[in-house]
Amino acid sequence: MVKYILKRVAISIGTVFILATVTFFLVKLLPGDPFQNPTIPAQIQEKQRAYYGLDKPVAEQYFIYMGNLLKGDLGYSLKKTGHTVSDIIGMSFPVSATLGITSLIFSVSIGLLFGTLCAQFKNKWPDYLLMIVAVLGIALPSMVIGPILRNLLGVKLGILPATGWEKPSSAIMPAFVLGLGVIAGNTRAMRASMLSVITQDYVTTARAKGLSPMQVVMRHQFKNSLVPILTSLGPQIASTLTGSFVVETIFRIPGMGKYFVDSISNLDYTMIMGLTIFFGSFLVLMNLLVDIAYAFVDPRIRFA
Amino acid sequence: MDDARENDFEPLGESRPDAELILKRQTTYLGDVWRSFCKNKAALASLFAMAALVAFVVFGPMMRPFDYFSNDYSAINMPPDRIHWFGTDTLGRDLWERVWVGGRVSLLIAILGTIIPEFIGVAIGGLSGYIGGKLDMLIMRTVDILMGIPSLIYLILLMLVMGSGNILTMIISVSITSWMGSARSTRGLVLQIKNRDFVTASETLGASPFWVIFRHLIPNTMGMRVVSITIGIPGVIFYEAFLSYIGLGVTPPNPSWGQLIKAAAEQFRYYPYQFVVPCIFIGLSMLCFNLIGDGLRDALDPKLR
Amino acid sequence: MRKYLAILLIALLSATMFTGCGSGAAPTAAPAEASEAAPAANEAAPAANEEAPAAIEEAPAAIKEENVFKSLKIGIAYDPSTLDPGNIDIDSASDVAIIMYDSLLRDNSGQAEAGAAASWSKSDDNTQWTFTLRDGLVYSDGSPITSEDFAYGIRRVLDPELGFSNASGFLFIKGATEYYNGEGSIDDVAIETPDAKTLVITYTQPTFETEFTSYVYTPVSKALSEAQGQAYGTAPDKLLSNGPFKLTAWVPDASLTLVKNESYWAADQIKVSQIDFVVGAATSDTAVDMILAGDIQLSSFTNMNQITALTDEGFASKSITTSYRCMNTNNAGSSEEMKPFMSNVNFRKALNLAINREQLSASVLTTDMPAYRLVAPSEMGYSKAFVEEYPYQAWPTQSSDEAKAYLDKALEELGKTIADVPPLVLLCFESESSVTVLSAVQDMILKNLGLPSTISSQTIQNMISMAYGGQYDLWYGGNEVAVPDFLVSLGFDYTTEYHNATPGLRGYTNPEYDALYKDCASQMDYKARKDKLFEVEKFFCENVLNIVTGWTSTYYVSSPEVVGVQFRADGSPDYSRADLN
Repeated sequence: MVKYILKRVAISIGTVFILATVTFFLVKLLPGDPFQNPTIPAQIQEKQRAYYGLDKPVAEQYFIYMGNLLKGDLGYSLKKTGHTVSDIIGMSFPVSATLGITSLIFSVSIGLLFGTLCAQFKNKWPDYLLMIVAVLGIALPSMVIGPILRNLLGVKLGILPATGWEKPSSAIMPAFVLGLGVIAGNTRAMRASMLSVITQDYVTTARAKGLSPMQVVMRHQFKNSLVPILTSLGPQIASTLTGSFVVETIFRIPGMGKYFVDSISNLDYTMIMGLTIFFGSFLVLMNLLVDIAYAFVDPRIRFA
Repeated sequence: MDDARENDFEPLGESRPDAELILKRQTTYLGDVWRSFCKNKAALASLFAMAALVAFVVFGPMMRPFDYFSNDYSAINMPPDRIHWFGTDTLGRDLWERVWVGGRVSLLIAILGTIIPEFIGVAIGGLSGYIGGKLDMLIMRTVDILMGIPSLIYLILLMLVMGSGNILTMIISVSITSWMGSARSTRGLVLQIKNRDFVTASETLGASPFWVIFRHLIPNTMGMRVVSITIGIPGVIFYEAFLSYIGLGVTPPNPSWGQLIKAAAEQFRYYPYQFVVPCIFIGLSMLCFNLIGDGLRDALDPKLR
Repeated sequence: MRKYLAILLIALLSATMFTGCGSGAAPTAAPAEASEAAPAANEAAPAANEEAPAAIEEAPAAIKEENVFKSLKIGIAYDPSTLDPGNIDIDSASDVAIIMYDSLLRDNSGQAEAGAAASWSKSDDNTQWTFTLRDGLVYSDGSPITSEDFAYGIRRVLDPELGFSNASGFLFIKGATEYYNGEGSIDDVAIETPDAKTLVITYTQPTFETEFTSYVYTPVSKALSEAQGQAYGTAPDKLLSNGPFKLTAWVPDASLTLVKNESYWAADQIKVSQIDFVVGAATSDTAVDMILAGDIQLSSFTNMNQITALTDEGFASKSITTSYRCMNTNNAGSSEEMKPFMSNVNFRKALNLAINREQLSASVLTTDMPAYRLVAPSEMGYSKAFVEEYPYQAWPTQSSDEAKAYLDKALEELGKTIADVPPLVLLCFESESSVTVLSAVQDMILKNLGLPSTISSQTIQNMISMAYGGQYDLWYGGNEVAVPDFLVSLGFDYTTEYHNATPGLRGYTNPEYDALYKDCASQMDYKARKDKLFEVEKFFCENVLNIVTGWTSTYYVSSPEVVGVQFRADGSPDYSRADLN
């Protein structure tokens, strides 16, 4: 087991390294130049390019970047002048992560609960009701639910802070809005997975043995339904924790979400690289944890 | 005792030649699927609803004398009334037209853009999971790398290569960026199933890996895949709105549901109907796709038959 | 008479008691005192005459001594990444910089007056400027400021190794361009500091007072700047300022807190004790909700619906013209096929007249005033508004039937038909409003001229790259209102020199225009410059070098108790003299 984990870790690091290299060259292929700016004279643009080392040949830039990376230096952001990429990520990630975790706890638990209920009451009214509720969660995009809630609870009723990240209660509305879209997915997945488990022989055996319905559900059906959910959980965690552009803008949360979109639009090369390496490492880590979790949850895989 | 034997038993006679005839009509696999599907009332109703929606999307624009791109400054931001059944937008364009014309684009991209990546993902994930070992490792690491690169970068590069504005470009770009999730998911399921007895039995009987994958493993993952597809469709609709903005989507003034929603969301407070109308249709299609998906999965899943 | 004096005395005594303790006890005390005071007053009337005035003076003094803490929360759109004067490039950052940095001269509601420099003089040709600094100038931490600090502030930005973005204004200093290009030394740059309070700068072309009201002409501490390097200006402890307010806290992407700088030379004019800038709280629905919830007291908006939603609730609003809305023309066309058409004046005139500016303002550009010429009504001429001194109607604000006539004339001149015209490429940024505006323009061009066009919406750097590559016919954008006038704005620079530095961007060179432009820029006299500016404007409009659709206003919406917000010549807000009623 330990050897397996160590091997996976080594491969993960290699993966991130390849990811960084591929992204570096892909990004240079993108059209445009970060310092082209019609409000700044051409000679000033030249000086800016030179200052950030963009006038050197691409291969040389790559080696300089990788050299710095090994020392843990992600460089200075090209657009957020004066700030280092590590600083920016270091300040915004904890905010997004806190919001993301709150939202995940909410959406995953509700999703699993709804899914289980739907499967147990298949094709009866709770199934349809919960499914409609879940569907509403995806059909109404956060860019509308967010402002409605913000206006209702934050302005008209004033029971929650409308925007910002100053108090612990600031996280409630954004976490809810962020989680809504995810609940439906988790509900349906859990429902489908559990339905395929319900018809298994071992479930019938368990009932025949005289276990109460609750015991049957929790001890047998639930655990065995989890494997497919786990697979999607890895990337879900990674993307939720790294922030949502829309929710963070609506509720004015100083998180990472906007950097993902803006850095590519603005061609902030160092920021794009920093975010890719960060997100990539995170994703790889999550997948590793999920693969390990598989082995614990489903004994059949352990001995594969 | 002799009396009982004589009176209680009667000779049966010859067994009837048609006693073992199968009286039910012979049915194919698909016929069976359709029959199960029809038993699910909700799914059937949804199928009809979707058919109606598609009919409107095709014929709706012809019902009114307007077109979807002409501006009319005398009728800006009007709520639904007898002339403009769904109202008008900021430039006075008729929303009835825009909703149906937009529906064509959205539904086409949504359906194709979800099914195609699923196929790709299932094939790759299934192969990877079944064969295992080094190939599995290689494929999964490649998937990790591809998932790690920000998708916006691919999209812009794709635009450079393919040019922008047509539906084909959009479908390809959506497919390229979303097959990875289903690959991982399928691989997980396959890992679970591949050591089961029926698989071992099939292999013992001499089945090739392809037979095992496509005839046994994949149908058993159908349940999850169908759910993914039905959940994925509205996601593609919104994703398409986002793509339109970076120049990879349908060029304006061509509408799509995602675009209509995004434009209306910014003015939601002041003109709610501009948002509500396309949203109802997106919600309706999603609901129908979900119910159809459920029905399909219940009908297709070997374990539930 | 004595009775009236007694009553006056009683009233004043009651008043002082009210202000003194402000409690309910006063009313009960007053009657008792009144009954005692009355008999006393009867006898002491002559004395009361003298006492009364003293009492009147005491009462206001008592009110003045109470220190009322006033704080103002203002919404800004983005986080200023840096507050280094050499690198400030977005509006949100300049809003903060204006109240943080005190420059040589101060812009008081559009007029230049003494700032950190108590007095100044200039040579006859307006190229050499001498400033005499005030006595006792200090940074917010008390350390002294000399003319050397101002000189350093300019020299560091000109350093060719450091890539500061605000070097452009300084390149007009004698010797600066050579130094910047690595051909001269820093000593050749014409900035002199004969003594600790005198600063002399020599320019290569005439300059006016308005130049020195910019926050780039502010002192910078050499020690701190060199110690911090690239990070200078990114946190309160990484910069030193000398303006009305000093930065005390900065939560990235969330808020900036500034408190009154007591060592500012005009500290008595500063009424507000603390200003908080809240990030992400401008021009959006989020900002509307925040103002309604009382989380901020002032913000800016550009959407009429949002503005009306607030003014209906009783908020005050003020509109300031901040930029020109333009369909920048690529006079060389987006392709070889397009070139003959776009370079034809009559073709461009047709496009210009086909656009119905009033309809644009009525539908999607709700805070724009339809333009009928280039210079905006808010811009100053010599002594009054430029549009009053030089009246001119270049084109109608509605679209004109003449549009088709000009198109036909152009086609005739080129010997082509309408079918030969390739689709026009309309370029814009990927936002919803930009796309809607271009959809409107596309429809107008189609209806009025019968010409097809395609809309190309791109991410920001991609759009800029396509613009530089000349891959557009009309590029939707805005150009800031410049000070002293549009001649210094790169957005309206159609000279051959600019064309050579940025080929493809405008596609236009014309020696006649260059001559007019240089003539205007070299005028030493302010009035002469404005006269020549009108000539340039007429040429610009008659030859349709750019299609200006409207003058955009930003609306500043605030709680009614906020007063004293001033606006500078370029429309940017100065919050330093604000007050709360």
